[in-house]
Amino acid sequence: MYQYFYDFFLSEEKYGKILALVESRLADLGMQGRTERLNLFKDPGESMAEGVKRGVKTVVAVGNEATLAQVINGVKDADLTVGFIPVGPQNEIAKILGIAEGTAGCDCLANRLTQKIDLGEINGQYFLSHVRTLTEGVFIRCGSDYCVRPVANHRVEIYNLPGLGTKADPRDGYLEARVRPAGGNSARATGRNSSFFGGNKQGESKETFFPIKKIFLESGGGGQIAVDGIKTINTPAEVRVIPQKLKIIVGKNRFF
Amino acid sequence: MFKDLYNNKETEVETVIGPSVKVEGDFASKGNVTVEGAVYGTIKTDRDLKVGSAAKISANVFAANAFISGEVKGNVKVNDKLELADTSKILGDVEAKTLIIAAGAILNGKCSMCQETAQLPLSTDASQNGINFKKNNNKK
Repeated sequence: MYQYFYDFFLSEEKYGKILALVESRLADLGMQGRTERLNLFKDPGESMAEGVKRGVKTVVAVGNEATLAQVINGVKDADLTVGFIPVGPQNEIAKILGIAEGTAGCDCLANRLTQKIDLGEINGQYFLSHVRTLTEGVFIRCGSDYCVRPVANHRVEIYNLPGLGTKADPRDGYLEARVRPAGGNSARATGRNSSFFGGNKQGESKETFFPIKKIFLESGGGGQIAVDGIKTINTPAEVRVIPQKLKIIVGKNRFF
Repeated sequence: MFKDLYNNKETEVETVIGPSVKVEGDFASKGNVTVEGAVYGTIKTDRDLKVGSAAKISANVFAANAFISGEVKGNVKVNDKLELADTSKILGDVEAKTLIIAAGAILNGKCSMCQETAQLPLSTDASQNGINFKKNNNKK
């Protein structure tokens, strides 16, 4: 049984047509289910807990990366498979997962190609793709073993998913730490074009990258970190990988 | 070996310490490591280490194989093959099974290549021979 979580921005009139097409396609595929509307104050975890009691096995985020992040954080320890139907802007993660937008996303869901992948966790909050420092002076500390301090104009990024100029593999039990020039080849800094998915080979030789399981991001104070490009948190932050945490439906054109 | 290693597209360099960072402490890795920046402390890998010409390492180094073209202030212990390029500068002791030093490389320190020989039971062999010799002598 399916449970769908629609983002609140989809109530805008301009998304009415695409949502009607998505719902029609889901009906054709025999994949209807209970629908919930997300908002900033609603914890999807409560609805999911009720859904699990009614026999829900798959929860589907309908919207963008923020919707998916909200749903993933709601799953917690429940034995649920997560699906994603990308609608609207800010959907780079859908490309990495190989899921097409709109009605084509319904077909990916129906194909049910499932992968068990790692999740990142920062200060108790899950992230699927990456975290990135927004301010200078943030450094990596790995317990009492070592510190990695970037020089000026460089930022720290931690990746779980590939693309965005990295080869991170969400199935290997590691996150990938990268130190890059600020405003360089990072996910948001380069804008949403295809170039950042291929990486910057010239810049890559100047970059630092290494696999991590658990690190701390620290600064002298006032350090800020963007989580999946959606939320912002302050340093210090503990970042770790949760191996094989998420069961997610992907497309055959995924990056991993 | 390193030409093969770094020209082979299938071989991934898993860790790169670029010129944009400074590493302080004991850095350990299970994969191939390339250092182009600065490291202070210890650097240890179970696989291959490449130290670039601009790299500055003030640390003891442990690796399976190493190719060094930068500066290392510290002891270098390599299980198999150590290659020092013409731009390399080592201020410390080196230990390796195979050592290649290019013309122009600077090495100020003790060099030890008798790791395997030292592990051979030379004394045991000698004593066995001695015992045999004595036994033979006794027989005589």
